[in-house]
Amino acid sequence: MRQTELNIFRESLDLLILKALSAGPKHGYGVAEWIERATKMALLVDEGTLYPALHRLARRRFVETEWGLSDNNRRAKYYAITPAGRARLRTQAPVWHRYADGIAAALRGSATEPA
Amino acid sequence: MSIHGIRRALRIPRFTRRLVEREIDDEFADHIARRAEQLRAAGMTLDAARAEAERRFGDARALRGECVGIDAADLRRENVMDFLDNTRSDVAFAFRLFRRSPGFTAVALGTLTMGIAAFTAIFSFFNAVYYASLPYRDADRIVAIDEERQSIRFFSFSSVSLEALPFVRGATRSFERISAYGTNSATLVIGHEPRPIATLDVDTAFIPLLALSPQVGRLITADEIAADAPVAMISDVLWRSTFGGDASVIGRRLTMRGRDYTIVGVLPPGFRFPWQTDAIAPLHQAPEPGLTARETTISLLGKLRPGVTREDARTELGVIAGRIAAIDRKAYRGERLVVRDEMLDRRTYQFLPMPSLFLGAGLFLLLIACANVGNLVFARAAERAGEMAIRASLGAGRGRLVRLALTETLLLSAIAALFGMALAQALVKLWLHFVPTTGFPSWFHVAVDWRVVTFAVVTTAVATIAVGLSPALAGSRFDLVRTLKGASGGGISAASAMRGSKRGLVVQLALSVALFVGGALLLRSYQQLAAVDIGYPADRIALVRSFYDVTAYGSLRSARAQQAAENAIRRAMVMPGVTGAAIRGGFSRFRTEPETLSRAARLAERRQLIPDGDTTRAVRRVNWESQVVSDGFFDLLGLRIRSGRSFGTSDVAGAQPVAIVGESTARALWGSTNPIGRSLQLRSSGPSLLVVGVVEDARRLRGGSRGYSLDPGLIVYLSSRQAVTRYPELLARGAGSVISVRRTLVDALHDEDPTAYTGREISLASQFDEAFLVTKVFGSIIGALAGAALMLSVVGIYGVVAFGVAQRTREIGIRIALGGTPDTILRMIAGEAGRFVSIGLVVGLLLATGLARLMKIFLFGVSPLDPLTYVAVSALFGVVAFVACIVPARRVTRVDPMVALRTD
Repeated sequence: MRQTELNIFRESLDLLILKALSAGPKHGYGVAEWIERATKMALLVDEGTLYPALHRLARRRFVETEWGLSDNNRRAKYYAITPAGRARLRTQAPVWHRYADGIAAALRGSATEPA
Repeated sequence: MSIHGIRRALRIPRFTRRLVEREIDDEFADHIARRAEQLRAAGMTLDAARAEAERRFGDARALRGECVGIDAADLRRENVMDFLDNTRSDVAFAFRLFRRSPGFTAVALGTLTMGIAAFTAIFSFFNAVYYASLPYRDADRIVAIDEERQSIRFFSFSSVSLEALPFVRGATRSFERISAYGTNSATLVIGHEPRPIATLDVDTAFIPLLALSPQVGRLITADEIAADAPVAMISDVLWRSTFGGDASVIGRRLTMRGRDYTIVGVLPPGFRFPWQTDAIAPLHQAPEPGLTARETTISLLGKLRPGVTREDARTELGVIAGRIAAIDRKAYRGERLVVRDEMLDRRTYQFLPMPSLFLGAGLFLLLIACANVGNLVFARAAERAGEMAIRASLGAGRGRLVRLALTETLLLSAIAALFGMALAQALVKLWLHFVPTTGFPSWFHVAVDWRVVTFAVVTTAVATIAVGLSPALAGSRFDLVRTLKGASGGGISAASAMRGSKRGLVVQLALSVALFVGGALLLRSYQQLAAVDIGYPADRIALVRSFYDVTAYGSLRSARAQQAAENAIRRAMVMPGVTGAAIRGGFSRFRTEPETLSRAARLAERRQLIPDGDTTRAVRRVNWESQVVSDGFFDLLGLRIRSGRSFGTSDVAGAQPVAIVGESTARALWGSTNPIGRSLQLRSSGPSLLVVGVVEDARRLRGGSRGYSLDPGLIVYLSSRQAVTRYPELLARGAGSVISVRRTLVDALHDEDPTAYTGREISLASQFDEAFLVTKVFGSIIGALAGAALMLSVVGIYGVVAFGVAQRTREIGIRIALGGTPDTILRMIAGEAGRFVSIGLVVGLLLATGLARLMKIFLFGVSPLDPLTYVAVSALFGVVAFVACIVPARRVTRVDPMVALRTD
């Protein structure tokens, strides 16, 4: 049970990261802020959990990394979405929608058994 | 090249584990700092914001561990990729360099290819002689079994008496199988041209022992062998050459030894045992006519049981030898049974000195090629000093630079090895085309096999690494700052490059000189050999060596062979265009003696030449010869009778046997006393011959293990009326060409005996040609190698001088500016080049004396230390070296001093 839960979380986090990066390269904190804003602080309990996800995406070549200078002249690692990452986002988003809608509908519906 | 390209080319490592950890720490720290800033902006205190940011981040240590774990997998992959990437970029880089200097690349490739091809081709022969194994299944377990007795020594590698055979067959503890076989020759008559074939007669164990299988038809069955049935299998060569490779050959008749055999099968291609095999037939295990079982011998082949050592087999055979000796203590005194490896001792073949000498020459050439490429690479390493410095300043380590240079040379040699191997294949094919190996032992199989390829690749790799490493190491050891500033003294210094190049050149010059002297000595010998005056026009006397199917001739074989030859001569004499004809041949027996003496009698009585019945003055067999000649022989060759008389019609069988001796022979046996009327014996128990004449010496040229000789040797002539020869030679002179005269002789011989076959010789001179073929072939090959070596040396000298001069353009400019004339500068450059050229020359001449001594037996009429040759070769190399040095040197003296001064 716990594994599934984790997978759901991981999948959704990956999708959110890709979505965050689809607008342009960001550093880790930027991604965290975007998710915070977009999900109304609903998702990231520990912000650090973002990083294993980012590194995993980098390893799978969905994002690429580059060290650069941030706006306040600090060395920061920037993440950018790759074409493979965009393709992933395109194919996985509908799946997620169906999944989320399904769960939402089930939870909203009456508790009566189907006839 | 872009920054990215340089980073890639030099491959500064992107990832290490520590680097990964630091990056993650930085990333986390950056995140926490940003969060804290944001919280402070929202009104928290510095400390509270910091604490809250860390709390919101979560367990940083655990997360760091997780991230490192994810990246480490990447890291491992990255390292492998890095290596491959490095190699790929190195190779790509090397190719770019090759393209940038196509001249260098072509010369280096050509040189190495030539060296590798020559060496590989030559090694494939060496390989065939020394290493190739028997081409049979489980060859390592197959041995020959031989019998040695104190009283008798047989000269084949396996020879066991028929009487001992059943005992030897009892050695079943060591041997899986023991097979008896015999090799014979027969005449095969198909169409008009009779041809000799080599037959192999086998017992029932033979075919399973060698695991033979037919290519067409079937094997001879054990029943057929036991019954001595007239069935035969023929070789692939015979099948293709004589029967056109047609499967309908099965069932056809083959007439050999006066018997009709039915062909039942064709042997697999390439099968030969132990030498040449044209047909396999059942072995007739019975004593030869006129001989006892003890006197008849047979060859034995054994296949050891798996795991049985040769020592085990020897022990078992030792016990059996004791049992054999018990049959007859006297006859089998000192009886020993031995196993011989590899069927035969390869080292007994007379062509053996050649492979090692050739291999030496090939190695010479390969070394020269490597030295030459080394020079080129070295010179270029100096040119590239600036480039190396830039690379080093960009962070490429020394190892990296060495690797780059090595990749370049290895790549060169890899390409050259490919070309060289292909060229070697072609050379071997060409050689085999001219000298087919039929008739060589079965293990003599010349091919560019895995051993040859391995050897060539390893040799080339080692040579190339040696060649590539020195400039690579020298090239990576430089003064970065000075080189970058463009000072000519920086980087790999010109002086050090010159030193390396010169050392290479000295080696190369020395090797070329040695080869050249060797080649010159051989070619001069060949000239001398061809010009030798032997006292009669050997090339005008047609020669037909005749051979007969001795088995078909039965017990009177020598008499019948000689009769056929004499009849043929009589026929030829009356043909138009023939002015004289005769036969001659080695003495076999007197007409009054039986055809076959018992083997024991023959062996007990070594032939020796005994003058006046005085055995203390006997001359051993190897030092004299006896020839049977017909009446016209001396006239035909133009040899004059010096004293006494020639053979006459009264010298017939039954009358007093007479002999005529050569002049030198008479002198050797009787000094200045008159030899006429003296007596001679050819065996201690043979009839006493009366010397009736002395004939002019027939000089002849012979090659041998002690070298060429013109010594006529001791010779005793016997009349063909009183003595017979088994292998008569037909000789004739005529008005027409020697070839047409020979044709007449061959036709006359075939009219007499359609099954007789003839040798390849055309005239008496052909025999000499064959004798010095070795010198001719060897000389031309070494000569070609030496020519190639000289050419390489010229390129080498030119390169080194041109490079050295180019390096010193500024210095020369200064000298010219200071009033140096072109002459003084030329003299200076030539003097410097002269030093290393003369060192190379001296070392080369010393090497040459060693080489010449090795080739001594192939030399004729010229001493291995022939001063003329050494002086001429020295002069040639001197002149060539001078030209190779003066051409580039002159160019620089014409340089405008102002331009020269600006070159840096």
